Amino acid sequence: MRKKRPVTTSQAQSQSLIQDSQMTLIQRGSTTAFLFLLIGFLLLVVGSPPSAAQDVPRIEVFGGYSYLRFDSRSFGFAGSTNLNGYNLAPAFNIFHGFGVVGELSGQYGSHLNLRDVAVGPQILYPRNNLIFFAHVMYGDARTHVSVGNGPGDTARVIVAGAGADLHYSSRLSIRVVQVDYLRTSLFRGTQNNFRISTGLVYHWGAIQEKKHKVPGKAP
Amino acid sequence: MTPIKQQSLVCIVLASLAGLAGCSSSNHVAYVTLGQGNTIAAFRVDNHSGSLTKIVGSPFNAGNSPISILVHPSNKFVYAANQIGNDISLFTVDQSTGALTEVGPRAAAGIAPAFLTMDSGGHFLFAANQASNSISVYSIDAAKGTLTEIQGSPFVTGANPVALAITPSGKFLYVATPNLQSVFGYSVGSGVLQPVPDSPVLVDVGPVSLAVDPAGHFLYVANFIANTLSVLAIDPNSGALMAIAGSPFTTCTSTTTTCTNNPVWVAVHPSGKFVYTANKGTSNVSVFSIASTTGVPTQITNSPFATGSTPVFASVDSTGRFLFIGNQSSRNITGFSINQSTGALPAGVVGAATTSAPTSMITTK
Repeated sequence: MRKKRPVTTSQAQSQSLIQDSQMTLIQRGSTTAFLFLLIGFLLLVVGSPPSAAQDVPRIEVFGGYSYLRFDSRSFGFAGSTNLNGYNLAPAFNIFHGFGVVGELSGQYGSHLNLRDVAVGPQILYPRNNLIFFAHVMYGDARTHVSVGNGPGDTARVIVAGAGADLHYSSRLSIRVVQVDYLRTSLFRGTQNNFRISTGLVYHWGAIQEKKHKVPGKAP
Repeated sequence: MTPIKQQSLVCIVLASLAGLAGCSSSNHVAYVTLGQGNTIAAFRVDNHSGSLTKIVGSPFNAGNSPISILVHPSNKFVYAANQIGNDISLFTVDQSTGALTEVGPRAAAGIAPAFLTMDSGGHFLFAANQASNSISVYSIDAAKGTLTEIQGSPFVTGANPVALAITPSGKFLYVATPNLQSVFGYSVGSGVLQPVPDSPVLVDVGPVSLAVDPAGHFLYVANFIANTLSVLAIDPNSGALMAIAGSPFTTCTSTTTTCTNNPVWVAVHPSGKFVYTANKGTSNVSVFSIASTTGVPTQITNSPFATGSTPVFASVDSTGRFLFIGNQSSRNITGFSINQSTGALPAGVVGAATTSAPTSMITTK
């Protein structure tokens, strides 16, 4: 079992800085930010020094805030639309580095909203007190537009994203950030949307990493 | 560097980079009246390609048989003449979506308002009342967009007025009256109309559409039955009209000097270099280059250019880069990219289908 690690001042400041950065992105409303963040996480995973093996939870449920930059230009709008809402995502980890995740997500704005239900595989990569993850999900998205006669539409959604959870206690982690790309095909168009989420992860159970025997060494 | 510090640093750098990447708007909106459906369709116009993207939620409910439409120079208000409703609707424009929301009550007009025009400053709106032979004039509240009919309105004009044109200065208003084969001219002072000298002026058979060049030197008249284009010089002081030498000019090609192409709409390019006529009888659009000093139109090589079936209006995009033709029978909009040096129209593409026959179109700036 993992040991509880207290959150240090340095870590708290780091989280604050990260959250400040997220707010900057939201205010700027630039979809490019998501791409940079996604690349950044890959760099982090590659750049992090190896450490002792870490357990991953058997079951986890994420719940939190999410911001979506919706590509409403295909709706004839002047530009993209900022939406705010929730993201709820249960996951079941089958192996130490692999599991299945689902999500129920909804974001809302003055002119439209978007909700989606999706499920798919997820890979995990624990490093120090962080667990990096990446997933691909497939499901349905539903939008309602509060313009004119108020039409709605349902279409397929593909979600691809990644993020990192910061270990807080035996039952709780903080999802520092989760960045997702959502491709939808609503109203006969194609929308390339980006979403950023943050919140808490509650987990149960643990899966230990398997130790490999080193040949030639005595037990 | 610890992993946490490393993570923070990367995030800050990424956020800073993201902040440098801005998004810019590169489009505007076109509104199309659909008389039979009592609605107004809205499309986003791409400034680069001219492609039309229907705004989700469009078409928007309008009055009874909208037939003519205008956008206020502020881009905040849209006005539509309701031909059967005998009134004028005011809509506010949602700047982020382009959606229209009607603001009541509708302003009463004469009988069968068929055409609207507005001065370039957006101070006065003019409506041609086709069945009551008059012009209604309204002052426009710049903040709310509301219309107030001015004292003395409506002003009597010739029988069956179907089209209006106002000079860029806003000093002179012209009215096409096909029953009289004439164009009436008025000076405009605080919205009040006074006939200009020698008004009305006889043109050709069936004048149905008017357009003034951006410099305010010439008035172009599409004569539907005569298949001609009349060109009238505008006296800059009095607003009086005088036909230029050679007017009227055929809208047929030089090789087919007689035809029944029935020019139903005339539009001038914002540069003043080209004039377009939508030809309802032959389902095409004729393009003329204009001599800047004399105003003489000369049909360009390869003109006319094919449109959809039975075009009823031509609308030059506010950027001057695109020409849109509304097709009555095929119920769609044909979009052309305009060659800025010759005025020629490469093969038109269907810009958008409409739920019923389009009757007029306007684009925001």
